[in-house]
Amino acid sequence: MTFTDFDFLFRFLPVFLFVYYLAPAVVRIYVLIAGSYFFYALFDIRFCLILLLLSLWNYALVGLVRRGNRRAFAAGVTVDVASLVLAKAFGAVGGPAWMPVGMSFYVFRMLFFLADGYRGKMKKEPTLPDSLAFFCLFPQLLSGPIMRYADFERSSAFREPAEATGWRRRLRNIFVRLENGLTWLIFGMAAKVLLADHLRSLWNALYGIGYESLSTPLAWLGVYTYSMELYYDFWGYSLMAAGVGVMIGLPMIENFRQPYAAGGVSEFYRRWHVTLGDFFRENVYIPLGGSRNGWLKTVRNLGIVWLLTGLWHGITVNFLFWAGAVLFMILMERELKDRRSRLLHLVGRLHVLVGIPLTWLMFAVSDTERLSAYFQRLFPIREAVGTVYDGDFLKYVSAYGIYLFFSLVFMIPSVYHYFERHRRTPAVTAGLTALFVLCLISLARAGGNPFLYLQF
Amino acid sequence: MRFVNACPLLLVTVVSATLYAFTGFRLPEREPADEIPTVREETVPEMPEELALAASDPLQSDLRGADDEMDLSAEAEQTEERIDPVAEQEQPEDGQPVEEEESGPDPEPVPPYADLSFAEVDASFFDDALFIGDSRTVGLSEYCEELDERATFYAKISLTVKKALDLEFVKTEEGRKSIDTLLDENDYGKIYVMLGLNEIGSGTAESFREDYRVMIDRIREKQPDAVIVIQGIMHVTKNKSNNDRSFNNPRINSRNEAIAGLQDARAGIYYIDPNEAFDDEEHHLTASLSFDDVHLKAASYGLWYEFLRQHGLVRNTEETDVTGNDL
Repeated sequence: MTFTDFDFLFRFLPVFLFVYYLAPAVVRIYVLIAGSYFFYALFDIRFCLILLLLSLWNYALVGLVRRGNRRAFAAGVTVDVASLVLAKAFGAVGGPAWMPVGMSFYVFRMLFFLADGYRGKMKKEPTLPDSLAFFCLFPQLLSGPIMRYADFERSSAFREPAEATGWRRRLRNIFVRLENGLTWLIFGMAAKVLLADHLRSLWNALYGIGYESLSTPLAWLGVYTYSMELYYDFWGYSLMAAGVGVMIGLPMIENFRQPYAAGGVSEFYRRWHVTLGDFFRENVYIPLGGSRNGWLKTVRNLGIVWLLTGLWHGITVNFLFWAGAVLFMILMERELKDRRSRLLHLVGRLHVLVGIPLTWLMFAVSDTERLSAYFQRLFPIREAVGTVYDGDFLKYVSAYGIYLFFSLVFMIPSVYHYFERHRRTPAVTAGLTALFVLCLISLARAGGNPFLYLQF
Repeated sequence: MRFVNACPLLLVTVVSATLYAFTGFRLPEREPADEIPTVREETVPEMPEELALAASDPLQSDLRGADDEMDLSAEAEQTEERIDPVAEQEQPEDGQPVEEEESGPDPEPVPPYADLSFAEVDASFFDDALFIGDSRTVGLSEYCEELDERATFYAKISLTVKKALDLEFVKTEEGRKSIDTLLDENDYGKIYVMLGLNEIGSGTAESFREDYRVMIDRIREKQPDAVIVIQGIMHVTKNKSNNDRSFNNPRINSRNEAIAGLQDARAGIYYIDPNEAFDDEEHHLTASLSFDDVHLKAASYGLWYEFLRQHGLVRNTEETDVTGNDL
């Protein structure tokens, strides 16, 4: 059950919210735990067990860790990392059924939890229900964002001093929260359903043709299509997760900050999947010494960070290519930074607008042979091996033009900022309502059919 | 009213959730069964399906009562009735007296499309060919230049047998036209059809065959001299077939068996099964020919063309040359 399932949107979520807000504030955390485990059990009940065991383990250690016990901290990190690595290894051997859904995200939340405890970034010692709830939060269970415990601590939902303010006030608070969360939820849903899903069908079409038979313009279109698909899919998902989070009283977690407006790759990755970037920066890069110990160590530290990031995404060789290419661009920018700011400006933009999309291609195509076939079509030094249809670019641009156009429009930072600032105005509300209806139509037409966009 | 002002989106979603609870969002679409192969199993209700068809088209009901094998004989009787009106239409144009046909066993009255046999042909065979089909035929037109330069293609993604002739999708200089209209305006020597995958999730093999027959009859009416070639629906790969309740090869095979029964050499309707060119040993689409498990990858379309070339339709007489066109 994902966020775009009707069963989630119209059954699970409303029922959950109803029970959640009907319950007194002190009980809500238990409703949240029960609801989240129910949500997770719909995937596989065994996954719940793993999550529960790991949650209890991290909770058991956090007290010691907060008091600066190194051994407890090391033990916690070791078990967390080992279980993730094991699950990934099993997943690679035994197929996806072995890798619990969302595990890499909740394990990272646990690691961050211990690290924040160790560094004294927790105000109070977490209670058992707090820890359980924090690790299993259903809006963030599947694909993040990797929220930090400090954000969870400051969320007001289950400890509001509501009794003092009277029921009218409380009700109003709840409705404001729900309405607020819905704006993010709907915006994210539109990005995912209306843009990403359609872009993906274009990307799938290229896959079906065979990369060796793409015309060069179509191959480039494919690179940008996939880049935008990935962006809208993940950004849309993150906004939906954040929106549901806001609805239950968590703070808004921003996971993407208009990355394609960045002036360079380093900046891009401070704006892309922000919570993962924060995790690696605070827990790997800075503890290793960051960039303060000379050129060589900086390169080493960046290398470690990107190697880990690559491995986190998957243990196939293409993720290493991907990480390597990103690292290369980051290092190049560092070299230019001190000397030539003008050139840096140009190179940085080129990296973001051409380099990054090409790295996404390495991210997308796990088969090295196919990846190489794709690159040969992008840079057609040699004649195409397969048959190429010269009209393919026009064909797909006219078929998907509208999605490509709006995908480009929503890349413009000011478009999103306008929405962000005016999202409670009648005009934007009307727009969101229209988007919501469009999403529903699009999803209803899919009707559980994975081939909605891939008709024969 | 204050609530509406304060929480408009909440209102919208609550309304949607309520609607969903009552309707499940099964929107009345144009023809949902065709476009969306629903998860509902259509295999069980064979009886009602037939009854419904019989009710809608009582004249044909006798044909459907029998098995496929039985149908062949019924079909033979049926076609003779069917040829007659065609022959009658032709005669005024040919200027040939009616009596001649009835008077003797001359080979002359045999229509140009009848009783041909399969043989290898060269590319010019397809100069007067028309291809009707779904995305797979679209792929053939795109990735087989040699064929595309010669033949005409009226193909469209997600095309179905039911809608093929009436949907106005072919771009012409005068706007979009239906195949039905275009068959009035142009003459074709050979008409190749491959359709059926998009409706594989709906109806039964029998109802599919019936729809197919109606379509072929309509084509025949507009193109009295054309050779009509029904191509079996191309298989999907083993991976796809084993994991899909609708798009699987047993289903495709049962549909192919059903439409193979429509072949009738005397009426100029032939059946060929291109799957023999694409299948692996287990009779699935060979995995290496496809990336998406359903369509040939671009580089594989040459095989299809080669198969068509090996299975041209020619008359077994001396005056036939390899193109088969001078008849």
